[in-house]
Amino acid sequence: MDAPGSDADSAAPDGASPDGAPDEGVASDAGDPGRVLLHRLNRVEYDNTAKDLLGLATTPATQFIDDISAETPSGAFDNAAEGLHMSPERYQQYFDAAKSMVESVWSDNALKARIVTCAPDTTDKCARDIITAFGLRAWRRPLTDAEVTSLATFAGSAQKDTGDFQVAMKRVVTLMLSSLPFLYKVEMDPQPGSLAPHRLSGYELATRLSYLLWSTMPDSRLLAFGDELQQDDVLAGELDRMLDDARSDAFVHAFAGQWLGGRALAIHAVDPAAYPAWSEGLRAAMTQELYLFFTGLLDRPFDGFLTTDAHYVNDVLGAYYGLANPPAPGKFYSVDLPGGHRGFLGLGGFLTVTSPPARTSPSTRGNWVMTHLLCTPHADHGGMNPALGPGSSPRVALNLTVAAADCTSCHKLFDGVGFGLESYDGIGQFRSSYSPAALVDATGSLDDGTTFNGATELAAALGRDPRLATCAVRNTFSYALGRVLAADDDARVASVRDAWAKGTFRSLLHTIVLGDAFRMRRGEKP
Amino acid sequence: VKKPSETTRRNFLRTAGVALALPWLESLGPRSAHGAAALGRRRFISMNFPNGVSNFWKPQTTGAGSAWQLSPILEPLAPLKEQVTVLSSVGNYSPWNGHVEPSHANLYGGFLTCIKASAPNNESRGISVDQVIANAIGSATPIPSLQVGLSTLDSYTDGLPAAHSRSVSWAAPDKPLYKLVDPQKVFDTLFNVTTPARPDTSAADKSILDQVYGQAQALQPALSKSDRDRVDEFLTSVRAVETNIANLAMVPACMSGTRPAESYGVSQVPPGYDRNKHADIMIDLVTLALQCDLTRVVTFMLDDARSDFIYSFLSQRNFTLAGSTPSPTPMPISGLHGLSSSGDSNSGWATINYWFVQKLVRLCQKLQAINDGAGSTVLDQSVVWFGSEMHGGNHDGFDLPLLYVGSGGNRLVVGQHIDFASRPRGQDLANVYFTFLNKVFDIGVESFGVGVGTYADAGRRIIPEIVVT
Repeated sequence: MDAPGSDADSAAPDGASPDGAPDEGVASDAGDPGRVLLHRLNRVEYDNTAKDLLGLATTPATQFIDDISAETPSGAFDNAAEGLHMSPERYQQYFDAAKSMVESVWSDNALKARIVTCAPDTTDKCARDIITAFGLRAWRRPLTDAEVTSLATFAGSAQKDTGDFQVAMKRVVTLMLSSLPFLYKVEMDPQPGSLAPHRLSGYELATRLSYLLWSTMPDSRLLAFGDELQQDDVLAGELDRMLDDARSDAFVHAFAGQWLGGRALAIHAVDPAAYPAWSEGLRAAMTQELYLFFTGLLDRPFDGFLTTDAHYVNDVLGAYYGLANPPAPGKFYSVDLPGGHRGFLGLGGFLTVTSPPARTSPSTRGNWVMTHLLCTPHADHGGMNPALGPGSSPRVALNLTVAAADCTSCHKLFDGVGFGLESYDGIGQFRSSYSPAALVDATGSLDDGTTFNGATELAAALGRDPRLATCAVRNTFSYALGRVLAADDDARVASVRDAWAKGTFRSLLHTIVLGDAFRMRRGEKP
Repeated sequence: VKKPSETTRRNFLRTAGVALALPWLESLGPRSAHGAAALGRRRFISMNFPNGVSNFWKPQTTGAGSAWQLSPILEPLAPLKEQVTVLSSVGNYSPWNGHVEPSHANLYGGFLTCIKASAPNNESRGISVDQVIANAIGSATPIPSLQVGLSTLDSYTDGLPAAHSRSVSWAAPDKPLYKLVDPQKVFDTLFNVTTPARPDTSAADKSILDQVYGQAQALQPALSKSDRDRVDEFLTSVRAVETNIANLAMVPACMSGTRPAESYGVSQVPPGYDRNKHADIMIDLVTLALQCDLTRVVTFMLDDARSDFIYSFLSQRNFTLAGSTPSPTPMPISGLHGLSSSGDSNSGWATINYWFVQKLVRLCQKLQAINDGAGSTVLDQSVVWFGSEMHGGNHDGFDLPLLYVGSGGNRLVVGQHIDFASRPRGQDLANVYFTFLNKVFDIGVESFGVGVGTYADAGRRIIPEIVVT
């Protein structure tokens, strides 16, 4: 591996073609890292960054306009650069937040002292020191001399106008918080018109890594590496350090929250009339269980994703899953659940979030699995919803409706998956019948014709499907890069999948982070 | 362009510096001149709800006066019946060339645009009717148009770009305007009170934004094409905020309300969140915006497409074709989408529809109480457009539940139920908008929406039945 600080011009990057310059149209060349657009911080990232940078407990971005935009392709993560647009309304919110946060910082002497670290004399040295130190953290890279001078000139003129050094510092900090290098993750191409891959600077790489794992700005340790961060051992070490830090909860919540449904579960509508066992405590426990389940997968082979017995259960879930000795209130414990509830498909949270409020829908569950776990989505028209009650089998009504409306060509591709999960009701409770007269029939089939009976056989069939691992890689890769994957990413995904070989999610992150797509970028044809 | 009389009025209000709530001050200026100005001050308000309606929407007879009666769902409109026209057998088929099942999101995304929402690359979505109006009359007010809504759920989007389900206003094919659901944000948008007003703030803000702009502009040459486009978006946004700051001095000091204590966001509601209260606060704010003439164009999404919000704050009314009565024992209402998919005559669904109409009535009665000069009210000068993107449980884009309240300054026929069933394909929604644009707002458009196939002529015809001659 190259020494720190070496640049792409003098060393061909790993995996690049020998001349380091892929031809146009060879986008699937594993040496082409692809491109990430100039990348606005999303709302979560903005709030975390503002908190870490300024020490405030406020979360202004929770009130910002939704990050979701019309350009966001369906199913994209909320950190995908493609969807993160700017508009006057959004910028007004950023500008207002910058002003208001600066007022808050200056009203708290301890917080102010973290920024204003000196007193002015007859020169602009103090202003320059403040700008230089704050700039490194706010813009996540050292400022150039020209930038420091320009900002110090601005501060000097504000001080002249108002006669007040503090007002001048407030304005320059507001300016930096309203600037593009704070609001966006900026990565530069030395030759914007060249397709030749080049390494990210150490600061750019630190920013990618930090927003991937912590959804916030790099800490001082990460920034201190400079270009040394590009060394394999340093990068791998930092990845593990950050993953083992509690702040990596941000990754679990954002990634599993979107990919595996945690966020949807937190606001999922359940009809309490249909499910008297439902409670907000159960919702909270299921959501936490889902995140703990994913966290457990960080160090467990991916083969266990659909089959493991290990679940994380507190007292509420213990009663829900029917444990003979539910855990004491409060903490979550890793337990082996009694029959049936195995792996991800056995999570109460998964079974709930894929159901309408008052019943199950094999179509919804099936298409969810196809979309999220096999990356084979089908157009979702939102449901004709044949008249169904909790006491009757959806299979009969669904088959009738689907046949009558000539919808079989699509529905046959995913309803079968949902049928396999019919032994669990709309909040994931085991059932063997809908009513005394209507027994559950959990036989189903995959879109390739594989048949199965019940959740365990379904999980085994999905586990044998090569799409499962590819889809996990695809989602992780997309989230890690913060961009939507295109057709020419298939080769990159396949290459990561093969190198990963169904290890753990930790090893998947290592494979991605140490790969070219994460550490390099390129310009594009003018 | 601001007329001298407007300037005078605003100067007066600013000088007064206190809560003045009247857009029309009889005491200022010669009556005739102001009368003319007032009559020119037409408003467009679109209040929409998702998932269509149950069976109890359509009035059983047509005509004017006593020839038609309000349906069970429309019954709350009784005090306003002479200001209401209900339209039946109107369809938004033109983007799809007849009936297809284009999903909740497609229909909602196209409700005010009459353009297919989910074409490849989304390239053929278009501008919505409210934005055509805002482009024509928006410059007369500090805020060209206002978008508000009530959905606090991260609502289901049919796997389509979320904007289709969550934004009914489109400034351009790629510019959904979404909406504000937070009452405080609406208030701040109206009165820009997010930062303490200090005499030197505007100048300081402007100097900061100048620097921000200059830095980003200097960065551009070092970027590749797509990144330059992103910086362009940033520069445009910074410039717009800067211009807005410069314009702030022109905002009238019309503040008859105080900043709401309630703050709601998507997935962020306090315990005990009350949707009815949320709606009422939002209605008050919209009223304030119109009353103070801060804007003349508003879209109000009572809920998002395919919402399954649980309307448990409502107790079921029992509906028959003769009318409705409250359930003798409280029966909380469940999820909207679930109900709308559980048969067309269920009373739970109708109860939610009824509540939507109650909110319409609340808004209209407030607008009716505001004098707009020359013996006219703000409601008289408005078209309050009310309806849903689909018929009902059949997901059909035909025979949409639609009505308007207010004649738009005596331009539209009111007090009628008009059913276009006798026409071969009913009436096209795009023609309704085409008529609004040309006959109420005097915007000379040649067509509206994009009709395909046999519907290529949609959005090009005035509907004589609704125009005052």
